[in-house]
Amino acid sequence: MSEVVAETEAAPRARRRRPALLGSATDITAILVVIVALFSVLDFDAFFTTANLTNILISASLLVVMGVGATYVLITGGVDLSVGAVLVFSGVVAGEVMKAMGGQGWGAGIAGIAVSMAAGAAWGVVNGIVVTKLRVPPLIATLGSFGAAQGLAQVITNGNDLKDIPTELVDTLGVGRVAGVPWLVVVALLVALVGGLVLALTRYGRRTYAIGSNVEAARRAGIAVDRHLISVYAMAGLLAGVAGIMSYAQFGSTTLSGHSTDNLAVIAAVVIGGTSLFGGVGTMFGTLVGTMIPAVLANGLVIVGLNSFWRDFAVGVVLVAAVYLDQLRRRARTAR
Amino acid sequence: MRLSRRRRAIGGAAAAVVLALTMAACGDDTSDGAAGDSFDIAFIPGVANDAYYGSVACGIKAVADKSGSTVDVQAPKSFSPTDQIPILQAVIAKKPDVIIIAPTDSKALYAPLKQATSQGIKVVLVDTTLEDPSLAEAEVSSDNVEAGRVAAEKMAELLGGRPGSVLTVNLSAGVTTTDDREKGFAEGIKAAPGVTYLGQQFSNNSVQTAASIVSATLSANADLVGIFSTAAFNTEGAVAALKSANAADRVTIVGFNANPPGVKQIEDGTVAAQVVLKPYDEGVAAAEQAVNALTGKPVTKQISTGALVATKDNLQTPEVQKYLYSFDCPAS
Repeated sequence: MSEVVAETEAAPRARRRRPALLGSATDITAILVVIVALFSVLDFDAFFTTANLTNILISASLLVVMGVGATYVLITGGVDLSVGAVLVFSGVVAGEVMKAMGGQGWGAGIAGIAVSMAAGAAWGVVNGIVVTKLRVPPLIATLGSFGAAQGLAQVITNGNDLKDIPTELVDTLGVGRVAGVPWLVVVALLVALVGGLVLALTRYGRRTYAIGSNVEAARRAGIAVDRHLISVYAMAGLLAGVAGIMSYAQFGSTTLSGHSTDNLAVIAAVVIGGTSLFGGVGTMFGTLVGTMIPAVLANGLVIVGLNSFWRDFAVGVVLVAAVYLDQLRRRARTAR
Repeated sequence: MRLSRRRRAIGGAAAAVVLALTMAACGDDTSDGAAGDSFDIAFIPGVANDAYYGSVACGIKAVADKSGSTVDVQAPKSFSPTDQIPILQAVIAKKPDVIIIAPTDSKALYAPLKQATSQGIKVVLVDTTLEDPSLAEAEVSSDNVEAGRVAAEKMAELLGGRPGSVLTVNLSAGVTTTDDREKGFAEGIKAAPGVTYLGQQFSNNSVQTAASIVSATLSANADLVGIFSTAAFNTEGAVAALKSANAADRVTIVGFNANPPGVKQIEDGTVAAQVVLKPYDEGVAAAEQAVNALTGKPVTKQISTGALVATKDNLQTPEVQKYLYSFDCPAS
């Protein structure tokens, strides 16, 4: 919807299709391009190599997967703070199952993937039910499950990171590559592609936007709002479960304390990508770009020899700028 | 009108990034000193804002200065492979001659470090190590089992035969250094008469968690007389918990932190003793071995540095002063 202001006079009809594809992400895409260009100018040989760009994609892949779920949740006007903890919990449960199955071989590996996804989805369903049936605001409901999932993960492991994972899984999903592209990145992009297509082209996607725009209107239009919301939270949880097994395979460890700020990183990425915190607006492409900005900054700042803490500063400013743009667009819309 | 405001916002965001680059660039000094055998050394500590790694960096810089080599320090914001690996990968992309790193996980760091060695970058492990350290030129660490044992002796001495329970507040399970400290302490404290050892609890490096562990233990074990804390945050948490429970007088803390706040704790008397490792020596040894490896000289594969205990009595002695952790390097 970012082009709303620019194109109000020019092409009122074409505008209707734009949001689905790029929409609010144009500004932020420009910022990403500027950042990449800047780092390329400063140190082309180190920054703009296939190996390094691949590294950036790898470091962003977990956040992309969780960001896809968060995009849906934010478009419905909700929020999910539980993702990082659900990621850890899913990895831990999968780890225990794989350990019980002997710890090696594809059988254990596939069971681990399935269990991780199921565990994540279960937390998502709980979130959805608490939000819809118990009417607890999403912020509180998911903050609660954030603590609960993190706590349970530590109870199960007794605070000891699990490190048993089939080498088959590490060698493929964790560090393996298909045609030069890491599996982690392939999975992340597939998830984003499917998530984006469903959001932009299907009835499910349109209902998600409708609920976020005006929940009462959606209800009166005959949408089963509660059921839809539960499915959205379940999907966000399921994707956190996918990220959980990805993280376990990548690090070879459940990294109990390594994901405590993932939830905020994911929300920041989705919002930077143009999804409105107030619901009803957002694109998957935007989320991809919004995830890449912090990842590129973290990598590039180290390469040009600056402390990576500057990333936090830069991401903070970009985040506020993105929300400011969102506000401008909203004002433009309501003014009409 | 609105369009231009939007443009301004984009410009603002882009400017912020540029600002971050340029402002910080001012502090960045990459002057090449003497020619000859000078190298690009990258140092990746376990976590930022920890003076312990500051002292390691000081040791590395002291050696690097001799050959006019540069040292680039890049620290992750939390002690976790999820933060450290992306930084390591960015450092690898810069292709330094050698990476000196304190791995935050004994397993997770293996694959990315392998990536470094396969590109011809030498790797030296400092302070923490890997399950399989064969890829590294050398590993330098403190003998943490011994340091734990020293801590137990000091604890026994300070208790002076007073019976009661003793608790260890540890960092996170799976961190080799702190696991070893506890191991040494557990062995050593057995010799203390009348002491019941309660074992360890993990704080995951959170002050709040450490505090709640200590206050819970206080309520469960009224006879608590001693706390061994394996890391700085844990000590701060323990001190806070004891203060709020009014138990500071009867519980003796032996900490593991010669950071500036830890030193102040000795001066205040809130902590009876601090085990002092020798991170400066670690840094020196790591950099020396790195330079040896780069210049083709023989490399000592394993080096371990010692520990001493600082108390109010010996705090001002030069031997102790030299090893207190600091970002300000001692004049050499």
